Amino acid sequence: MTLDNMNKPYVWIVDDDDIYQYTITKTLEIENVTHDVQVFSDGETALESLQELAGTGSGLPDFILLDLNMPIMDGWQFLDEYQNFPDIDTIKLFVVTSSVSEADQEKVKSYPSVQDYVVKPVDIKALKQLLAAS
Amino acid sequence: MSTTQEAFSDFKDPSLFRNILEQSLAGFWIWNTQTREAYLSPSFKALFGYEELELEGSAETWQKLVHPQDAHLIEKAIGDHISSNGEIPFKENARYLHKNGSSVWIQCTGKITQRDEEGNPLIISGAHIDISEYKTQESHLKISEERFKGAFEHSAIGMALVSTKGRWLKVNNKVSQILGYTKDELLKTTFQDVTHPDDLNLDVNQLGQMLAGEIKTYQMEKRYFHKTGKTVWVNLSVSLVRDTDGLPLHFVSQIEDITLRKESLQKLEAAITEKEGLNLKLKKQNTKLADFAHIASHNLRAPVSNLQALMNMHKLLEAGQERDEIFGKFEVVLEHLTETLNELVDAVRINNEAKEARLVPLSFSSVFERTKQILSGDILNKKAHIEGDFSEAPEVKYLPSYLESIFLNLISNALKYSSPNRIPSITVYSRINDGRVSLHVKDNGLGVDLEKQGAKLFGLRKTFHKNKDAKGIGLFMTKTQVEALGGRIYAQSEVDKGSTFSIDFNDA
Repeated sequence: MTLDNMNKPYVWIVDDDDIYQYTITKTLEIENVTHDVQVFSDGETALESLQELAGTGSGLPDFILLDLNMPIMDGWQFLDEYQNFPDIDTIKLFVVTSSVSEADQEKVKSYPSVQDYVVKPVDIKALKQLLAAS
Repeated sequence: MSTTQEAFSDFKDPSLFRNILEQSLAGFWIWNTQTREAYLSPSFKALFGYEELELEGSAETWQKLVHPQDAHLIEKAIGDHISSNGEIPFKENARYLHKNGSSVWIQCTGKITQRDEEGNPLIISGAHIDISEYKTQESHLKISEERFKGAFEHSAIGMALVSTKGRWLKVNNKVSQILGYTKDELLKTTFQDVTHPDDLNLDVNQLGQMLAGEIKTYQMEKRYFHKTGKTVWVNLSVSLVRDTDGLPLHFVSQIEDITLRKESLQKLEAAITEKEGLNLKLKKQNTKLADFAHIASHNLRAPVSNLQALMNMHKLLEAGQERDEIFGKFEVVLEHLTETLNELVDAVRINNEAKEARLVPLSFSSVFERTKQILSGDILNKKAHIEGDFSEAPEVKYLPSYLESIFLNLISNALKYSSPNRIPSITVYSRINDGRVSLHVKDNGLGVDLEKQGAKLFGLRKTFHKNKDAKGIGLFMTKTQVEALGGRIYAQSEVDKGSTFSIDFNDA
């Protein structure tokens, strides 16, 4: 791990789709735009990690890319709980989903902690810009 | 001489006679037809508001008192009496003029009481009685009778007098118009004869209450039969007329034809019901379409976007091992996509099949036994205790393949999501409620938090457990099948206690 890498963002992927998990991590690796990537297959495990880290002030991600459509705890339920955590101000959360439903896009706007709504497939250039903007 | 005769002779005493006369309310007169002199008693003069001395006794005074329009009546009556030589009695009613200008109705009677030597009438005497009060009452009565008759006959609504037994006593034109019978035809029947049997009891009960004095009037909407047999709706108001002793005389019925109003209302109600039914159907179809669009969007877009992402990566990478890895992923996604497409096609097929489905009576217990055989391996592995009770509703009319798939899905789910902490126990039972058969599959498994997951429980590719076999197809297909045949599926569940899945079959 180079020093250069330390300045790059730490990203959480919260998504149950293993092909997406594969393509996004692979792309981030190839593009070399992240310091580290952590993958969660559902909202519940991501939330558990957040719970452990909250208040310690360290180990929190710089970015969360959150899917909406997941088993056990979906993106909405995750967001409902997420709002209540301390220290999330430093985290940039993007909803990344294959849903093009207008209702979903509108609903996302009611969560102030969400930066933006991104429709899959994720454009690599846009993703790079997004992560560089930190 | 007896005492009576003595009294009678006393009665002949003129002073006594005069005394009695003056105390009576009548006025007396005596007229000499030849001299035209007349005697008018003080009570006679008092009839018209005069003192004894104000009027002199003469034929001219009479002329002055009698109403000019009625004088000829009296003259004719006296004339007839005289010319018939007393055969025709003199009795006539006529108006006189009171001193204060008002009219006084007088009953005049008189008789030839003395004749001259040739036998011609000489003296005629008689009495005048004030009958004004009686005349006024009579005319009032006549007016009110005529008014009632007019109101009765020309009323815009039906009016009838009905005997306490129900016979029509008097009906107006409107009643015959409403019921289609002539007045004569109606008077031969009773209201019971033409009343719809469903409305008769209420009507008769209220008449009874009125006769018993418990109610004064009543009003009801009821049906009569028109002469042609068609139903006529009326608004009926009934009251009871009693005689001066309070005994019931007859009923007075007011009958308003409200058939048109009723029919419009019924048509409106039918239209509303129809529209509501249509709305509901459209709503259901819309929901199905929306569900389908949602499924298509979620379940097709995800693999397609994966393909796109893989494609992009493929471009980025040089030929080599990594590219081969990506190629392997393509296969997985394509397989996934094909599966999803097949499921969607199945769902569409289920909806089409259901349209022309021929439902047959199926025995729950035989489907249950077959399902147990199919799942015998799982049941044995999990040492599951499984029992069925279909005594309350042994059968349902359904599509055989659907019922088998429902049993298979629900029971295999119950096995799949059993708790590792206890021996799985599954109970399958049927119920019947209002002729509607339902099926219930109860387990003691992991359960689902319905508050969080309930809305998605039956969605395609929704899973709620970290179970590697979970694909999220079973409940979606089961729901599609149940709803395609007009039923519904729902669940009760408690985390780590168990779930009960229930199906209400269509009652058709």
